[in-house]
Amino acid sequence: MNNRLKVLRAERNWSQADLADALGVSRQTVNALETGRYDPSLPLAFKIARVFEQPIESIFSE
Amino acid sequence: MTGLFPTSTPEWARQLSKAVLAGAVFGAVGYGVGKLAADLFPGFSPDLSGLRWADIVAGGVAALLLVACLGTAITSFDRRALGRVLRLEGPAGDDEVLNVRLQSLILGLSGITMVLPMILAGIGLPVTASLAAVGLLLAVHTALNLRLYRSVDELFRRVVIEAGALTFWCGQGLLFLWAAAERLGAAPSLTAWDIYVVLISVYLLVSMVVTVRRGLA
Repeated sequence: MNNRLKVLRAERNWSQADLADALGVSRQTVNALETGRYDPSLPLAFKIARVFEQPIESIFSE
Repeated sequence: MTGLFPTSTPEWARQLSKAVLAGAVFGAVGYGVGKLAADLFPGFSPDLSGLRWADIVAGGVAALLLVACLGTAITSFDRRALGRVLRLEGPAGDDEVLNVRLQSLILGLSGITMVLPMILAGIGLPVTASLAAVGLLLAVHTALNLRLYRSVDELFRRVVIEAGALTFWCGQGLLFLWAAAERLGAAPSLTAWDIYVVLISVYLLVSMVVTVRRGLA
């Protein structure tokens, strides 16, 4: 699964730590998500969508 | 080409090459230290004739775990280096350092767990005292593992679950093959210690693969 996390984070000028704090996960998890090594659980995907104020399907794609 | 490897080298190949290289270096150092100790203390020659293959494998796995414990602990004192190892932007923070030190402690205790029964059997401690020591170590190890599991997020938990599931899948396959061969009279019987050592060895290997694959190392 692909995602636009890194782009969205860069657009907001957020650090990995900022996003990790907002999501309640570690910076390692943010890195694993951004590099596509890990697909988030559904609750975390919803949280990501809320943080970026975008629908899930505009952040994640197959 | 940058550093040791061409840029096209897959991550798993880099990690494997580094592990083999580190193994060769540590092996050579270990041989040198052992040779020096044998020269310095010629009268000290422990009786290793009672060792079985599972004891040797357990010793090897314990050595790996203790080296990993030491390496992790040392790295945790350099926040920038730890940040690079954990693939973070910038140096590691307090929580990350604490978490890595807890993992280091668990790795060390895992190593001790692998050799403690052999050591206790070797020094001839009463069975009750030996079992109490093993039980205490297991209790501390389990408590630390639970504390770590509760303090981490879903990625780390996923890694633990995937490693456990893969180990079960590989372990049950190996155990079935051996059990079938044993039932057919084609293989010798295994002891609980043999099975435990194989299980932990498989778990260690699988954990490393899953950890690298998920980007945690």
